[in-house]
Amino acid sequence: MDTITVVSSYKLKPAELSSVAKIAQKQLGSSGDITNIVDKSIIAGIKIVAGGRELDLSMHGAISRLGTALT
Amino acid sequence: MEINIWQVLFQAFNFGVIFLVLNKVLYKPVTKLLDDRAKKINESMALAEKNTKIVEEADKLKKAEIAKARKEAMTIIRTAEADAKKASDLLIEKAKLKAKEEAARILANADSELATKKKDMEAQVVELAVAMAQKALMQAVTQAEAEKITKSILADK
Repeated sequence: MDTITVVSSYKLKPAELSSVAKIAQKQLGSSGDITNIVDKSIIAGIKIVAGGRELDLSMHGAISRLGTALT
Repeated sequence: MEINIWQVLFQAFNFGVIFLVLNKVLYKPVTKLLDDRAKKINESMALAEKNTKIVEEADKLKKAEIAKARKEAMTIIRTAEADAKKASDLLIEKAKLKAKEEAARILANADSELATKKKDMEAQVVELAVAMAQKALMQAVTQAEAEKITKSILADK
């Protein structure tokens, strides 16, 4: 059991948290309690941190990756 | 006037004696002295002529030696001038090559520095653009839109 932290720009609804749990299981191989942190700087989308790994599906992360690809 | 034969004979005898004595005592030594002197003068003249010839030969030899030495000196000077010119040309060529290499090195350094600065600047521009885009999107995207986008992302994954 891992602690799953999900960052979003608004407080996620239970259905959305359920989707997050599925994604964490599928993409990071983590399952456990989910803690939702609201951070408006990620603009939209979510960022999942579990078991020392990170899955960034936010708009902020997408723009940052675009910037990295350009340099 | 009568001629005294005995007196004539006596006078002739006296003359003969005086002649013999003078010939023996005075004439021959004087002649010998004159001959010796003439011989000595001739010898001196011959020696002087010989010496003159020697001096002339020495003079000719000296002039020839001077001419030869001058020629040799000119050859040495020309050779030295040619060698100096060669050395000078070589030094100039080396200096030109070194200057060219130095210029190429400076140019390469400048190019490298310029490329680095350009890359840094591009990175800064991108970083700034990313920050601006994030800030603009943060202000532009409403919560409803954010929710819609988030739902869409969750549905895709």
